[in-house]
Amino acid sequence: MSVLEVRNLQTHFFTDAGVVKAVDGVDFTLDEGEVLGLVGESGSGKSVTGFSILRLVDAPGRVVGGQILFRGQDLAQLSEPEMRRMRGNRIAMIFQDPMMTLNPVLRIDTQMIEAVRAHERVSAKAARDRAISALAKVGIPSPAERLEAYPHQFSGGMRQRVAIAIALLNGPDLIVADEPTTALDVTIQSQILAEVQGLAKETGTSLIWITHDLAVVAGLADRVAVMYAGRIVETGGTDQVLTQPGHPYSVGLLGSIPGHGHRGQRLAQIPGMAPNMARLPEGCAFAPRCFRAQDQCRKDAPRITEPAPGQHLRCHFPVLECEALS
Amino acid sequence: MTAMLELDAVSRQFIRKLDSIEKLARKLGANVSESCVNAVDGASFSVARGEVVGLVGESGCGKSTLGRMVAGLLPVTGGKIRFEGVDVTDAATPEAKSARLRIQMIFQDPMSSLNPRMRVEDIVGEAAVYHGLTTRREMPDYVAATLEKVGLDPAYAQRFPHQFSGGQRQRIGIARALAVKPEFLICDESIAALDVSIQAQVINLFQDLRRDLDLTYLFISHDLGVIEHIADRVVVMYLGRIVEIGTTEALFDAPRHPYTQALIDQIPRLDGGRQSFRTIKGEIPSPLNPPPGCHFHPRCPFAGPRCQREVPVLRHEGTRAIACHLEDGGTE
Repeated sequence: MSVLEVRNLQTHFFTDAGVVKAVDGVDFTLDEGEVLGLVGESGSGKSVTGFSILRLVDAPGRVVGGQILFRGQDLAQLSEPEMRRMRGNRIAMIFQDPMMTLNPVLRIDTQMIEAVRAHERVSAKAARDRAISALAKVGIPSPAERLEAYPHQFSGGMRQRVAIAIALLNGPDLIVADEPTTALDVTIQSQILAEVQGLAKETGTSLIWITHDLAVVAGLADRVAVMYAGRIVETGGTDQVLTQPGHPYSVGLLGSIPGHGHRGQRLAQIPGMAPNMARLPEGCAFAPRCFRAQDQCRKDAPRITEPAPGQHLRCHFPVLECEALS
Repeated sequence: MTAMLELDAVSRQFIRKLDSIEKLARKLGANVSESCVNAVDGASFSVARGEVVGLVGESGCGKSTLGRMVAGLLPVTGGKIRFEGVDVTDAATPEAKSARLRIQMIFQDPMSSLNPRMRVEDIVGEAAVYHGLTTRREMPDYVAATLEKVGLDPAYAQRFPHQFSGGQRQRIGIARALAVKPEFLICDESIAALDVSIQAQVINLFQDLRRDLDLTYLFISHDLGVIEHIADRVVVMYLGRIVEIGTTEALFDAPRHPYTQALIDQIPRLDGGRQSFRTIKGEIPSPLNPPPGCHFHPRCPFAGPRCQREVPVLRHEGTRAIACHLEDGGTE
């Protein structure tokens, strides 16, 4: 059975400038132990999707439609106390900036023990032991001593490890990670990716890895979902999306990444810029920037099609296998 | 190949002075001393005309400090910087001033480097008028031509920076640098804050400008993919020191310094398939208290006793230069 099934999720922000459909009909499923890479540029709705799963969207935003089935139970229907029991316990989240998520005036031990005891009746000693083993698992040297430190005494990479350790404390079934390595250096990023990869395999935790960096997803995820303007435009196995993308946006995104044996050549850029989410064009939101757009694209929004098993596309004129990346 | 820009053992120290209470404490016999960071420690390399030199390293390695010294925004505490043979180390001399006009810088965050209360026309045109490249009356036409060069509609000249997207703002920053007709551009993480698709547009713009205006770049970035794409030669820094210099092909195909090897090993690759991420142990040490000898030895898999004792010198072999004891008689 799938751990998470998101059906037609819609999260809208009601602003003075109009309704911003940050997430507009997102569907995906996540199996036990699976790693899903959710990729998109800023403003594509990838983070709001993550926040919506944990029901962390603040006003003026609201989940206005759809189902979020976590092991068959619709999270959208849960009461706030029930949701609180879920968060940090069965579903955990790792944020981009651990300095913003760790309380700067509390020691790490206070924060970790609190996270354990909020969900389970255990002694402070047992909770502390669990915190130490979680810190050791994410590769923090001398965890017992480091537990006594304050967040500012850690480096950025170490702080992110602490945040990951807190997410792991209660052995969640699902972790939503929102750009957790974006602010880190390459060497630290690869350390964190290695830790997470090992931990996900070891504990069988399902993982949603939200990122703008396709290369990070390439090494980590089983499946990739590409978002554009609040919708998932392409889903498929990682290899398939990266080597034979079907949606023109995925093709453009891959062509935009420098440093893959095309030294000094022009990058295949996508013209224009991301649309204003408050005034999306009619039809396909990508049509104004798309090299394959035709009249139909500007009139009707494309529906999801499944040209190959496991590959879902939202495009009237998908790029065929033979012409991809040529 | 004559060098356009030459750096000769350029260093920059940042010293935190003691405040009055600490001075008092020291007089009373407490063991407090001024803390000193060697942000850049004896960096020497040169950039030839028309070349793109990439400067890479992790945060805190001194790459931005070095860029700011070349641009004349930070005084140098040691060494010499020469631009086309003119000593520009002391930015106050008249020769340095005129030479430095030909060196311009493009910053990382266009929102904090553009004055939010000035119109684009004034942002781009101000320096050109000041330096006599155009007159105030002809400025609008001059600005329009400059904006066109960077792919912005001249009709936007009367707008304010907040009315633009991130990619467009970066183009304004580039237009401002180009307005004084520079020959040498320093790009300090100029595309790090942009989205992938916008990043590709700006990289293409940099390459078009290089070709059309015959520009030379010092391209500072932590992103090795970008550097591999755009640079002809690469300089790798670690904790204030240059550890390796080489042509892009040579450096990426066969990195020789263990740090460069680790960096290149760890670029997440699109074509690698599912990979197990190989890691290099530890973190970049505090520059306040760097390890003795080779700064990299605590993280280096090949470190020996000599690495803890002795600072490796940057040894040149043709276009390649490496600062590692492994290349110089072993680590014992």
